[in-house]
Amino acid sequence: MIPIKPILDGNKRAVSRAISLIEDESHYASSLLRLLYPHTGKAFVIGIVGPPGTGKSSIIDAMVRCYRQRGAHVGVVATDPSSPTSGGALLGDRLRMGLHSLDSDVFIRSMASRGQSGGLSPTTRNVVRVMDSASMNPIIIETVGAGQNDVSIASVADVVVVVLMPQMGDEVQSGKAGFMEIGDIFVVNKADLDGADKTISDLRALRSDVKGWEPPILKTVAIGGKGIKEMLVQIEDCRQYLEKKGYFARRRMAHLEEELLGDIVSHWTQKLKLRAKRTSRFRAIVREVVSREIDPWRASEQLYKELDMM
Amino acid sequence: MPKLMPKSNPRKLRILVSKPGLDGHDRGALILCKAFRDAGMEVIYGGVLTTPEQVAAMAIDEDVDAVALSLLNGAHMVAFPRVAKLLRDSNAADIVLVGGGIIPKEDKLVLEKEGITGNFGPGTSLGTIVKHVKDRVAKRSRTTTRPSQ
Ligand code: B12
Ligand SMILES: Nc1nc2c(ncn2[C@@H]2O[C@H](COP(=O)(O)OP(=O)(O)O)[C@@H](O)[C@H]2O)c(=O)[nH]1
Ligand SMILES: [Mg+2]
Repeated sequence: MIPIKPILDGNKRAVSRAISLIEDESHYASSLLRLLYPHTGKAFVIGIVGPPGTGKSSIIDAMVRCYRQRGAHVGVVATDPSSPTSGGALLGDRLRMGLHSLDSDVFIRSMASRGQSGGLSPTTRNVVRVMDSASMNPIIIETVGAGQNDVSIASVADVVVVVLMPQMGDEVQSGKAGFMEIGDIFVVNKADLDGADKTISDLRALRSDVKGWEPPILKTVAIGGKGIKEMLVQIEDCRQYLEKKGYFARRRMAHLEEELLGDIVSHWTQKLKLRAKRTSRFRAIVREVVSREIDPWRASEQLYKELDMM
Repeated sequence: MPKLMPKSNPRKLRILVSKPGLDGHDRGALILCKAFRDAGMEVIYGGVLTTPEQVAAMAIDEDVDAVALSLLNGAHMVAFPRVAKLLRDSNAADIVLVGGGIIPKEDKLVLEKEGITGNFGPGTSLGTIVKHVKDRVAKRSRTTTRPSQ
């Protein structure tokens, strides 16, 4: 059994090892998580999402500096993509956060996406729980930023910040990027470059305020930290708004619902696959579909019946 | 009751590529990063101009299996053993240390006594380096305290 006291005490080595067990989905992971779970739910979780190179890591570096000035114990999970061919990954987000490595009240962990789409790793949620149990608060998550659909963050974070930059062209204009819809706050970073105001007006036309909260649009220059304090104020305002309206708790409830359903579905999917393959008729039916004796829809109907699912 | 985690993944080798000193020669380190990634490892690049203290701290936060130490500036005899000592002091002596850069032959034995192996110089094939890292990490996992699966 893994002792959890050092984790709860925030011992870095203990925390980092616990995270590895969870990341590797080791047999120890589930029993460890069960012990830690009662100690979670305290941390405010902030998601940072946006296309590659907009300055997400640099912004997190500046955010951490601000939170440290207030004495907070900060956790960071930074995600980069795994290579689909080698399975390896180059995790470079830390490069922009170098100065915090020696701070005993900052814990930064790089994670590879390990084949998961949506911008996070399959185990990000549980890694955040380890940090939460170690009393890190806030916890900041950086998504991969590779595609248009870095949207998993919306089911892990309490508040989502979308980071863009000037001269992004289509990406903003078309509004097609999935992450545009999940932003509670929009940041146009690299405001030192030309075109920031154009990006802001493009964003104004696009943002939606379905929740009665009109996402603010801010300018930052992460290198040097300009605008970061204002950004943290907006993050806090958003949190207070969500709490006042009861949305904060509702979001967390929705996250957990989704997680539980996901677990059940994947458990039953595996079970069903095995059962379907084991039924004596399975191979025969597949052959009949191949030879056009029956169609795939009839075939699945028959399999449903055989699996006693109708 | 459904099990929370149905499968157990084989552990991915995690490695920190670092330059613990005032040395801007980053070409070799970047090439190593790519080679390790292409060999299926998860590579954290620590950047140039880091201190041994920062390198050791990063290694612990990231729970890496190995740290690649690269210096071409002649400071390896001070910086590499310093990283080794910091890791020992943090109860992390099981993290594998490999070195490389411009390292005179006579220094290699001394470094090896500190547990820093490889110490490859210019022209070493990437295959040799990757194999060395994998071999050392494989040996480590037999003696490490990490719970085996
Ligand atoms: C290119 C170069 C530069 C470039 C660097 C560009 C960059 N961004 O990297 C520039 C022009 C900027 C430069 C500047 C300087 N350089 Co210079 N540079 C070189 C040169 C010619 C090649 C280095 C290189 O990139 N090689 C290609 C890469 C792929 O090879 P590598 O880094 O050696 O890595 C391989 C192996 O060594 C090994 N390896 C390396 N690290 C590790 C780590 C591990 C864990 C492992 C397993 C293996 C491993 O694997 C790699 C693949 O085979 C060398 C001479 C040489 N032949 O090495 C001098 C050299 C390193 N520089 C030298 C010097 C002195 C300097 C300067 C101080 C000034 C000067 N005299 O030019 C400045 C200092 C810069 C600084 N801020 O630190 C000296 C160092 C002398 C010493 N150690 O006593 C050298 C050896 C030249 C010499 N003979 O005098 N340099
Ligand atoms: N000019 C300018 N460059 C920035 C700013 N913020 C970040 N950068 C640079 O943009 C590049 C990408 O930054 P990074 O934080 O790694 O972006 P990420 O991929 O979104 O995490 C780096 O070279 C940064 O130095 C900024 O405010 N202004
Ligand atoms: Mg980044």
